[in-house]
Amino acid sequence: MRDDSLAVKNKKLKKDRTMLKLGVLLLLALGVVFVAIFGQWITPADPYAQDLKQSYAGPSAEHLFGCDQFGRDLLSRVITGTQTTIFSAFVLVAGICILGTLVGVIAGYVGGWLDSVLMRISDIFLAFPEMVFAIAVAGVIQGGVWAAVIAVGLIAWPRYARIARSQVLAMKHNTYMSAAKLSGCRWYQMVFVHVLPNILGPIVVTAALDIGAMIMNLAGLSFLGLGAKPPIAEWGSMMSESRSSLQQAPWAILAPGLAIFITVLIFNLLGDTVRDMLDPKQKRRTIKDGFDKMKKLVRGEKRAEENPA
Amino acid sequence: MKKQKSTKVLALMAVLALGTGMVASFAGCGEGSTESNPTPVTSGGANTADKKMVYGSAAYAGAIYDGGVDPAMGYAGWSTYRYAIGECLVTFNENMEVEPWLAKSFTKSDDKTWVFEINDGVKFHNGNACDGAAVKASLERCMQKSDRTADVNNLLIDKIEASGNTVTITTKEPNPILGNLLCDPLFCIVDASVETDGHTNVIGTGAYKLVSASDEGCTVVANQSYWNGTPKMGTIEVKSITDGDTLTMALQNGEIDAAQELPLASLNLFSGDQYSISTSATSRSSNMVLNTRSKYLSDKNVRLAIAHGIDKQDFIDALMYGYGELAHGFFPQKFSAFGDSKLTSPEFNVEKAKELLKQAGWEDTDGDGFVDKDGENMKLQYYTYSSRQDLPLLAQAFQSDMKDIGIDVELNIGETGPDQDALKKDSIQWDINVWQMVTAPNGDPLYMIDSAVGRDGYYATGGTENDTELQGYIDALRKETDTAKRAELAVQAQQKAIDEGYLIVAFHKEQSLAMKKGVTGLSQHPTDQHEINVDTDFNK
Repeated sequence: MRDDSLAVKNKKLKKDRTMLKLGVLLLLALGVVFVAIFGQWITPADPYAQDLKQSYAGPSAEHLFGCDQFGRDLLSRVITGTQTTIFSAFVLVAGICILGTLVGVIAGYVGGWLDSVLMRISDIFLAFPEMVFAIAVAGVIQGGVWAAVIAVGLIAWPRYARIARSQVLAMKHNTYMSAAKLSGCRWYQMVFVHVLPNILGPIVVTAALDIGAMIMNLAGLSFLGLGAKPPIAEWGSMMSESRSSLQQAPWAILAPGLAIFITVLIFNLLGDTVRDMLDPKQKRRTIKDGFDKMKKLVRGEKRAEENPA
Repeated sequence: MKKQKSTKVLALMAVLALGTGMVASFAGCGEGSTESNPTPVTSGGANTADKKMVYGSAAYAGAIYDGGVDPAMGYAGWSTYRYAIGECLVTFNENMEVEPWLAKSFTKSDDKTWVFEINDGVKFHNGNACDGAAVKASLERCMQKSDRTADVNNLLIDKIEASGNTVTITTKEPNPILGNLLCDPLFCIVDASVETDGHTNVIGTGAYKLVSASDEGCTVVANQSYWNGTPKMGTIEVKSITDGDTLTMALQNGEIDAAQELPLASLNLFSGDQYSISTSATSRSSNMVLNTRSKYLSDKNVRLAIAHGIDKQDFIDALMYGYGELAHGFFPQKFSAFGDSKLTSPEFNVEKAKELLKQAGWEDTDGDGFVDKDGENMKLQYYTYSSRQDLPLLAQAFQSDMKDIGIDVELNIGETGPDQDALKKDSIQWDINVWQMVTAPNGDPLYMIDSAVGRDGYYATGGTENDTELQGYIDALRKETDTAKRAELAVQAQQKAIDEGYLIVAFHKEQSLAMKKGVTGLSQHPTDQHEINVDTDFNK
């Protein structure tokens, strides 16, 4: 009895900690989104106003993060860059999520030759190394923020298609699905009313985890000159513009670099927490879990040796 | 409890072992280990054959031309020339005047006949004599083999005759700049009797002999039979390092002893006692041509307002780190006959710019910060490209300067320049076309003036073909054979283009060489062609 109540208490404590973690991370993420939405009204200076006499000026009371090569206030540009980065990442994740899910649901639900064709198409895209393909496509489209979004989107949607399809296949033959069919539901009612709501969990978890990765991909393309073009304030292109001055003016590259690091960290941790809460089947494994499993295997083998019959 | 404790100990030991393994593997990685990159033996000794120098270059031509340094192959001759493997009959001095080199003298017996006297005792690296016949063979080989057809055709050569050490070149029609054209590294004299693969047996007459060349660089050794002195180094290794940041770090960590074409942002890192920097203004200029056919720039006052609105000096000081010369026309002051010392251009004056715009009817009537006329804001389309690092910087600085005088500018920065034919036909709506190039590769003004504002120029001229006075100067320049008169015509043509606002030249780029303190005899030349030479030395 005492062991049971302790286990229950531990479980409750763990749940409370997770809720607290979720709350904190949600607040931080909302803070980033708030900056993205209202950034243009909270910047201390015009992010595009040049003052060449302040070129690469260091951090000071007037310019908290220092200035870039054109004497532009780095703090203002980092804040403005939040808008470009966050919105393009959200649009990208939303786009690949919707497209991939639709393809996966159709493939899984309809089955047959359509399933084969759609999955072979997704296999082709999955075979390409992600960034290499994105660089090639962005280069052909001649760069720009939306070119980068399209380039990354083209290679990233199959992941959602596969998840959606596997979920649909798992639940397709459930009793309630049969009942719904028998009750006269049309195919779109089946898909949108019965299928989609039940597969959203893993999709949302994947999307949440993907936000950080997409921010990195878009920043990477901008760093290579294939994303946002100057003078647009975008973190990746800001790092690229200042990389030759890393030794002389490290703040010019550190400011956008830290912004990327912190934002990606927040969204990655948020994604992990959402996964822990929404999809308990995807239980996160720890090192202890690994050793426990090894011990069980070893004990299992020993018992087999001791009791060969 | 005991079992739990032993599990924890096992886990901790596993983590420690993994961490140690990772640290050990990282320590073994990378190019910086002393085993993979031993410090070059560069200290001077009694025997110069032991002296070695490592020279890093971001512009090694061999990296483009299949690793070869055959001067007849594209622009690979720049490597043949720069690393003292090959030499030309004539060369440019510091004032961009043609002077003899392999030839001890050259004269014009008439408008179409040039006579070159080769220096006595010049030998190729394989010991063969470099006489008139060898020079003739080399020039004919180059004209036959090179794909730079236009540059070869510009020579207008009818025939080449050789007798002893004398070479006589007859042109089809008078060519006043034949001497200038022969300074091009394309026309390096090599032993045409040797079939070369470009990688190991490019046989020139220079102070250094080629050992090997690949797309990663080349190695040259001293030519002890050099006709014009004794080389001071035993071996010079040229490394191609195309990334500017990598080149910077290579010089900082001692992997190389001198560097060519460091990023401008990096040059200040080498301003201390351990290094020296040699700079020179070159004729590499950033040029803006304004489209007089566009609805905004057809008015001369608007064009001149733009010229007055650009703060060129601020741009050079801040974004070029001072490594630039404020420009008026196409050629820097070093070109004493027709360069900037002879020209004037609109100086930076924001109030004057606004006044000119007002005179043209453009004022900010709606308070949005941009000038407007008949309810429409002025918005200029600016075209340039990013393959030259300064051009995107100039574009952004220009956009900001124009905003200060109330003009909106939309930047169109491609990886390569826009299609000039499309701009000529105005099938792309453009207002300002910006490009950068060496404006006097052959030391003569006609090429650049004709290309930029001439009737049949390579670049879109934006309507300058309709200016009869300007075209008159250019037409006369094509035919004039007297050097002094040519210079005068060049000055008149440039000044006319500047005064009408057709053309704004932002700056002349200063090229630089950075090197360790012990390196001597290596300096930046205005042509950007002369680098390694017989006097190049490195003593630790």
